[in-house]
Amino acid sequence: MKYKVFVSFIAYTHNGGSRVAGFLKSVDDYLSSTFECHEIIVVNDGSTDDTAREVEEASRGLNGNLILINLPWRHGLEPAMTAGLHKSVGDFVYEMDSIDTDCTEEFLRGMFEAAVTGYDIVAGVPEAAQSMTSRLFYKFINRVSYADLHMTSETVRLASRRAINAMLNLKEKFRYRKALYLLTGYPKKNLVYRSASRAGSGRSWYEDLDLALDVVIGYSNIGIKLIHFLSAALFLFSLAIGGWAIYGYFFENVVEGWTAIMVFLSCVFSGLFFILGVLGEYIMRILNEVKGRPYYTVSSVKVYSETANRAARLDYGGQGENARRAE
Amino acid sequence: MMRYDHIILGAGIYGLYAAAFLGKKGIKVLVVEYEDGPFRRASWINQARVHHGYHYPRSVSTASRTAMYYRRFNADFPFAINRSFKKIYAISSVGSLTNAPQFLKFCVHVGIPATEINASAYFNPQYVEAAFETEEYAFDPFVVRDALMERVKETGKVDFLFGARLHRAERQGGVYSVAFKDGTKVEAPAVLNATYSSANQVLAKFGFQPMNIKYEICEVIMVGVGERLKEAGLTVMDGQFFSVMPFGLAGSHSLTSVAFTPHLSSYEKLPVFACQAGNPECTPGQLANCNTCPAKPETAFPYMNQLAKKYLSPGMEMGYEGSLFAIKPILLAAELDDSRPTITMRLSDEPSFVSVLSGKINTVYDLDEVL
Repeated sequence: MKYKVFVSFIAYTHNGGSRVAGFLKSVDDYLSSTFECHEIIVVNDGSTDDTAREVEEASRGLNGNLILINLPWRHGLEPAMTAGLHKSVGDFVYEMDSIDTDCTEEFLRGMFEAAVTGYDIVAGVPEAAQSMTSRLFYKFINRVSYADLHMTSETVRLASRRAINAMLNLKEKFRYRKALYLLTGYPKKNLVYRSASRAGSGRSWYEDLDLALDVVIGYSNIGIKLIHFLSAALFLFSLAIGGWAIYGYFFENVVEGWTAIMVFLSCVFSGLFFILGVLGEYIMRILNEVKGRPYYTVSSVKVYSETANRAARLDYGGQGENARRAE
Repeated sequence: MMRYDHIILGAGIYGLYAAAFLGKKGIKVLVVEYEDGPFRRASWINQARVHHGYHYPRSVSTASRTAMYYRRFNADFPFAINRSFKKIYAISSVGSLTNAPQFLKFCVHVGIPATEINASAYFNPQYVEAAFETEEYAFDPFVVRDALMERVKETGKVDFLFGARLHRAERQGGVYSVAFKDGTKVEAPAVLNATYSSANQVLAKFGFQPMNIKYEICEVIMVGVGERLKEAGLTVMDGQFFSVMPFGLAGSHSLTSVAFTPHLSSYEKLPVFACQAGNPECTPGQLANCNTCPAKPETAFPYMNQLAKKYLSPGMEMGYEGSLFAIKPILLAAELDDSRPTITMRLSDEPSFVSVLSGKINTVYDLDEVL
C-alpha cells in the first residue's frame, strides 16, 4: 500500500556525473513504490563534469517528476540545498546531502514511518565512526551553544512541510539547516543507519573549518563571551603591570625594566589582535546580513515531467516514421 | 471547383473574427476547419483570461498593446465576460524575476490598476512578497464562439467546411487552388492562415518558410473550488508561476502553472511528439486533437495541487474535475524577453496569403490591419 502523500526528494551533487544515474534510479524506485506521488530535485552545484547531461539521460527512466536546478558556480551545500527547498512542493521532503549516501530503502522508509508518529524532523545519522575533528566539533558546539542543539553528523533528513516553512522563515542569512531546524522547535528524532563507508563531505579541510567557524559564531555566544573575558583579563593585567612599573620606579633599577615592558607590550598586543580577529568575524557577519545579497543564484531550472519521462520511455519507434511521413 | 473571395484556414477565434470582418464587407468567405465544429482547440482550451497586460512585466510593449485591446474586447463581448470575482496577482518571494516595487512601477507605466492588499487573505505570506488586486476578467469561450458564429451567419456571405483534410495547395495565376483529401477543390485570390498550432504545417503546404516555433502539449486543469476561492482568481507571478481562476461562466476554475502545464515539447519546425505513435491520425504534417487523443498525457494535477497548496493559505482546497489538452506554439525569439507578440505576415500579394499567430484571445483586433 502506498502512502497518500506527496514527497519531495532533494539531493545535492557536485561533479557526481558518474554516479547520479544509479542514484536517481534507486531513489525513484523507492519513492514510487512507497508514495502515491513524488518529485526528485537534483541540485547541481556548479559541476564541471557532465552531471547535467547524465541527469537528463537518467530522467527518461523515472516514474515521477524530476527537477534539475543548475547553479552557475559552486555555492556549497547549504545555499544549494536551500535552492532545492524553495523549489520543493512536497508535504514531506527528504534532504540528502550527498548522492553517495549509502543508507538503504528500508531505512528511508523507516524515517518516514517515524515521521508520521509525530516527529516533524527525522535525521539519518551514519553509524560509522565520525572523524576525530567532527567529534570534537560537535562536542564543542553542543557545549557552548545557547540553544539545546544536540547536533551530530547527519547525511539525510526528512522534514514536514510545516517544519520546512518555519525553517525557511528564519531570516538568518547564514543557513545551517541542521541548527535552523532545531531552532524551529518541532520535535526531532535521530535514526542511526549502518554505513559501510564514512561518506566524506567532499569538502576540503579549509571549507570544513570555515563551516565550523560559521556554525560556532552563528549558534553560540562564545565569541562575544571571549571578548568580555579577554578584555577584562587584559585590563587587570595591564593594571597590575602598571602597579609593578610604579613600584619598580621607586624601589628598583628602572633601566632593567625593558624586558618587562616588552612582555607587557607583547601580552597586550596579542590580546588586542585576538579581540580584533573575533570582532572581525562578527563584523563580517553583520556585513553579510546587511548586504542582503541573494542566498543563491540559479542559472537554469529544468523540469523533466512525468509525462515526458514516460513518453521518452515508451520507445514507440514510430517517431522516425512519423517524421518521414511528414516529408 | 468552388470559388471564393477569401479562404480562412482555422475556425478558432481568429478565423471566425476574420470571417465576420470580411463577410460584413460583402466578401465571399470559406472557413476551413479540421475539426467538426469551431473552437475545438486552443480558442477553447486556455486560461480564458482577458489579458490586461499584468503578465508581461518584462515586456512593456506586449503589455501596452494588450491593455489597449482589453477595453475593446470587453466592449465587444460584454455578455461573455465574468466580472464577478476578485482578480489577485501575487509576487512570489523566491525565484522571481520581478518584485513588488518593480511590478507596481510597471503597472503605473502601462496604466493598469493595481492596489496592494493583505497577501495573507489568500496566500501563505511566507512565499508571497505582496498581493495586488487588479482589473482583469475571464471570458467564456463558448459564449464568444456562439456570438461570433451569430455574427458570421448575419453576413450571409460565409460558408464552412468542417472536418476538412487539407491535401495540397497550389498557386495558379492569381489564385490559390486548395485540394482536400476527399477530392473537394476550392480556389480564392486570398488566403488567411489562422490555424495557431498548425500554422507551420499550413505554411509548408503553401510552400512558405516555416517559423521558428517551439511546441508544447499543454494541460488546462478544471477544478471545483470552495467558497473562498469561488469569488477569486489568483495568479502568482514568476517563481513557480501558477494561476487558478474562473473558467468563463461555467462555474469551474482553471488551474495552470508554468512548470507543470506543458507536458511535452518539440523544437522541430513541424511538431514531432513521441505520443504521435499512439495516434496514427496525428503526424508532424497534420496535428490531431489532443483533447480527444487516446495517447494524451496523464494529468499533472497532483503536482499542481501540491504547488497550489504550498502557496495558498489553508482552506483553499480544490477538487479535480477534468483536464483539457491543446498544443501551444511559442515563437522561439519571444522566449527570452517573455513577450508574446502577434505575428502577422503577408507572404504574398497576388494572390494574397496572410498568416497570423498569436497567443492571446483579445489581440484578435490585430487582424483589422492586415485584412
